[in-house]
Amino acid sequence: MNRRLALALVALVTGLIAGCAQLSHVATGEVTLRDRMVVKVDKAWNQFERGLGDNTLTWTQDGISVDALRFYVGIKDGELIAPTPPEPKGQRPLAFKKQMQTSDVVALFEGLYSRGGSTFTLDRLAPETFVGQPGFRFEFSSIRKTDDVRLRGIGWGALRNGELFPITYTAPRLAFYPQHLASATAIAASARLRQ
Amino acid sequence: MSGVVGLVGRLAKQASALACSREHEREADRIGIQLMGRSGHDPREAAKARGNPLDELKANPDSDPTRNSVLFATHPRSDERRTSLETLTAGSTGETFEAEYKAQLAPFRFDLLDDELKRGRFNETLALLDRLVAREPGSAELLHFRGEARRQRANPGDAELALADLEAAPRTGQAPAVSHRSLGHLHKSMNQPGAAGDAWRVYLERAPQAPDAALIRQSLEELKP
Repeated sequence: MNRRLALALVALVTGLIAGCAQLSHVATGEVTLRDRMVVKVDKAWNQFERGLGDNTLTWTQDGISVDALRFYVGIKDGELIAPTPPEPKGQRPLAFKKQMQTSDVVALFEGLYSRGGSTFTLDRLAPETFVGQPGFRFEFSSIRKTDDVRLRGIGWGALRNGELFPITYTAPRLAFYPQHLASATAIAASARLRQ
Repeated sequence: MSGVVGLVGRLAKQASALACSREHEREADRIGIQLMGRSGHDPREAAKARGNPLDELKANPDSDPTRNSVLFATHPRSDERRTSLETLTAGSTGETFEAEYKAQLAPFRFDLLDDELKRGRFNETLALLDRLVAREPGSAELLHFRGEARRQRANPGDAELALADLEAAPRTGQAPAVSHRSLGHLHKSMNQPGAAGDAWRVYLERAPQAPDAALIRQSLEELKP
């Protein structure tokens, strides 16, 4: 038991250090993400090549555990939007399927933000053009289980050639969320895909 | 590094305390059964309260509840405890107060089941709902959630079973509005656009201000030839 715990902690610390090492500065202007998506940035952000515990490109203004602008660039059929925790067994893998309806895609993010006992309330889900494709926008509220912080979130997404391209932005609903929402929205509105 | 060692030490100490607590739990079972009997409650329900969540966890393939659940890992072996409770309470009698319990729970049950669904552990959720539906077969609410759990799990054969529940729920006249939305999504995925449209229209009639109403309206437009 002690050995397993120690190994898990070492892995966690190593992962965090590795993640932190990949922090970089995002200057204003046009930015290409993973060679596929191009966005225009109106103010500087901080970029993590990987989010906490997954492989998602994540930007933040005030810290990755505070506000997070996450870019899912070209999720393929069968690919997970986040790794499945090894235990307990029985949890649904958050896998995108190209035949999914919009509500199923949003349910993936609902599953992601509900993990560990956090709440998720869908406040709005509407059609919206994104990356030049017929897409959708969803807004939600969440109470994070670990610290009871009330979060607000917004996401945009669209499918192109069977691949999913969502961007999500989450932050504590007071102060942080409204502070960076306009910039996050402008970035999402500017997003386009390279041919 | 010393911080990590200290943290590991604290966690080891906590694990040791949890192991000790198993003996305390056995003692608590004995005392709890006595108290249930004195207050007029049927002590035999204690074994069910223990066994039901255990059965739900066992619904997962390769699941070992003593390893996969904090609750069961910190308590006496689960099957042993259920058997022990059944032995201790054999021949007891008392009231279950089921009607009173249901009445108190009724205002919250939809939200509780909604949260249960969001856990994304459909095997466990379906074990729970199968048990509840068996006790309350005509409940539109339970039929909706069982149908939705199967629709979302989407294992082979789930779509047909989900359809049976989601069509049965409205026939009771008590189905929640979202049940029609689920039925529409299911028909759409089964390539039945006409039936999908019918179900979505009922959903919008009943919940015109729903958070996803705009998307459903667009989905209806897309169904038009």
